[in-house]
Amino acid sequence: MASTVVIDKAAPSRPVKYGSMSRDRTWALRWSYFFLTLFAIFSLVPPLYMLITSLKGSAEISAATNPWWVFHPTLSNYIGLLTSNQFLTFFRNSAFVSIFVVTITMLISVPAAFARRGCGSGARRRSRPAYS
Amino acid sequence: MVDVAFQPNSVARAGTVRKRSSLRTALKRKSTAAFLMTLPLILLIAILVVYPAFYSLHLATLNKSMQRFIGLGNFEFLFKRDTFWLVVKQSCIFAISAVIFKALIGFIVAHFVHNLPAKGQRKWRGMLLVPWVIPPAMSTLAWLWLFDPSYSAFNYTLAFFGIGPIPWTGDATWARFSVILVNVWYGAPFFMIMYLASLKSVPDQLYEAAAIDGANWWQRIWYVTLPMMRNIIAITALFSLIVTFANFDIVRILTTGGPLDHTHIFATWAFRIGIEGSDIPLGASVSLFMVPILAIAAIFILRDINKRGNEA
Repeated sequence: MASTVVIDKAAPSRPVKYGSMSRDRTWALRWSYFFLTLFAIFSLVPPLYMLITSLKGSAEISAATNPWWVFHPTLSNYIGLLTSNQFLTFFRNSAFVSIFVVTITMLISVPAAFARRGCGSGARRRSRPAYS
Repeated sequence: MVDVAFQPNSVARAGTVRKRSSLRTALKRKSTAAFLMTLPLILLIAILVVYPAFYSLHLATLNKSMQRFIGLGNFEFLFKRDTFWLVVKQSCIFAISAVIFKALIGFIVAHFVHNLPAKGQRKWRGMLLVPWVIPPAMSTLAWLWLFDPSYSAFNYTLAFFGIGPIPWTGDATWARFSVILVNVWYGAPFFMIMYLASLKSVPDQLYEAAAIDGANWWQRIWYVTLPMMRNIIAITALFSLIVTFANFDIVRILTTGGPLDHTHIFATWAFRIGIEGSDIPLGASVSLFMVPILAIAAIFILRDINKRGNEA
């Protein structure tokens, strides 16, 4: 491009090294995906490993084969859990606890939040930031 | 006349409006209603926070059988024990390094996620938030199984690279490393989501201006992003420092205090002494040590926030 050269003559000379902006952007994206994949692997390994191990039988676990792969997938662990009365009791307990906790928390905190936010005269109420 | 009964509660508000008595009563009635609505929360905090705090203060001054008042005897006893100073050191190492790594990883990951086109962000955000959603007690059990001395999946993988079996929870240094690693794994997504939110709120014009001034990416981060995120960084660091300092479940499940008390932190050691060792006053006094340390951290960080708020 001859025209840019002409323009640049007047400018103070400085080693300016701009690459193509879209190419920079593509590389930035590629690096982002690369590192995000690494971080996603880091954060997903324990839950995935839980899942993998849950599909193994005791024999396969104690045989200490490749821990990252299931050679003889079995659902016996899940069947055992869902048919045991104990687990169902625990499950019901969890459900009850979470329902009651959420209900009571809402009952207590919603009026408090409303009092904090909704009361006072008009100007006062409007001037108050939402999080205070 | 109902208002009169509640007058002590609305003294603070009553002073502001003197002239118009009708407005005054209305305001008073509103503040009374507000007080009544906050009353359950106040009661809850009084019962579940204030009372236990003073009760533990009271407990800390009793002797082991909890029958005699011994003043500061428990603290004198603690100061003479090496294990106590070990726990202090370990708590500081644990909390500070975990928070630093959480913040660093959260910052970096937030930038990467922010870089992505808006369409794909949800998917990545969801994947990266998984550690934060799983109950820490359960995910720590998964980590425990990953670190297991004889069935460790990590050691199996590392064996391919010729790296010998690592005693993840058996050796003092490695056990500390593992505990911090699990904590970072659990806490980094919180930082990521907070930093991502504050990154999105930085106005684009600032970056444009910086680009026109010829700032490279490092200068953009240093002079634009970081100053804009300062308050969020300080607040998240403070909250995470408090939560990490008071951490219990990860250390308890992963190492139970570890090889020869070398991974105990305040909460686990207080539990070990107070509940398992049935010396409840001593355990209470151990747990009370978290208060001054965290108070100092809170003062420093919050003072910084106020200062910067005035500058802006």
